[in-house]
Amino acid sequence: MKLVRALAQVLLLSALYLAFERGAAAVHSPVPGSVLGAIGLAALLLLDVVPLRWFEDGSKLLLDHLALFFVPAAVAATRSWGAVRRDLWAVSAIAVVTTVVVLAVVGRLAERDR
Amino acid sequence: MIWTVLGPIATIGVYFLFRRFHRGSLVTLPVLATSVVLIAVLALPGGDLAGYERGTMPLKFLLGPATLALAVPLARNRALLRRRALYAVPIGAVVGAVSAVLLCRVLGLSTALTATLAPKSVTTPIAMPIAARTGGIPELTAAIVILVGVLGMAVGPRLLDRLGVRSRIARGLALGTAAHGVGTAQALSESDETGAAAGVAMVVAGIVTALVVPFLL
Repeated sequence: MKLVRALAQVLLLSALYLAFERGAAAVHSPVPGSVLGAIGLAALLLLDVVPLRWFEDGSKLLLDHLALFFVPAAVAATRSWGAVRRDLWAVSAIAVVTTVVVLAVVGRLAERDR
Repeated sequence: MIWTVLGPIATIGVYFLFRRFHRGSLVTLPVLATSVVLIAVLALPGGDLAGYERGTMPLKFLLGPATLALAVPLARNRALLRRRALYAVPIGAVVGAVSAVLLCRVLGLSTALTATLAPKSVTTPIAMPIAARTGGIPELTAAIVILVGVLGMAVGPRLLDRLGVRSRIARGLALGTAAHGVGTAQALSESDETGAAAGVAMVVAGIVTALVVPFLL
């Protein structure tokens, strides 16, 4: 029963997602429709316009298995190997440096002003 | 043709297998291990990447509704949204995107690689469409996002120790902003409060990055 409810909520989230993608394409939004959808849904939930339970089970199902949904993209990335091979060191260095910088900036600021 | 049918079955099967046996070790981290196994299998003779991609389209589609689903943990932790420390997250997201773009320019990387790297700190479902819209390679972004998550999980806690970041909220916000879902899983292993802070940070950082990156490139 819980799974049925979760799946129905996934369908509802999918319909909302498609609507936001259409809308974003129509207005040539530079921000992805899915992100506009997340902002819109967060606003509706935070302002108590729609109850959390309408989306709770479906959201948990999708977010629990989020990693599964992007395996296909990660696998397809092997095709782009040629595009990074020459710059592999630069790309790795940028990834490491910026990750350390973000950890340090957020960690220190939040620790000071918690 | 056979990969169109076999692809999604193999992906789901291997994923649940690793999920079952994952015990905190990086080697069995489901997303990393599943990707590596499928890359290896598809590299064998007869492997058909285009067919695999066709077959796994429904899985990829679910990244869309999953992005909307991110609104739920945000709304569930509304008390956290009122904490002062949260201001560090948008700052961190902007610093992350701007520093990545600047370093790409300094090191002379192509505009396609710059757009691929700019959203690399945020959760994959948000990072991929950002890369796609700014002229990057979204699949490559997905792979780099996973590696950044693993990096943040591996070095994050020790780095934060060394910097004297001890409060649960600060550690969670840092891990969620720098290392999205993988960092959030790591934060959850420290405490529930750390995990909740990371979950909120991951969503806020993703939204801020989506709003900022299109104007950086």
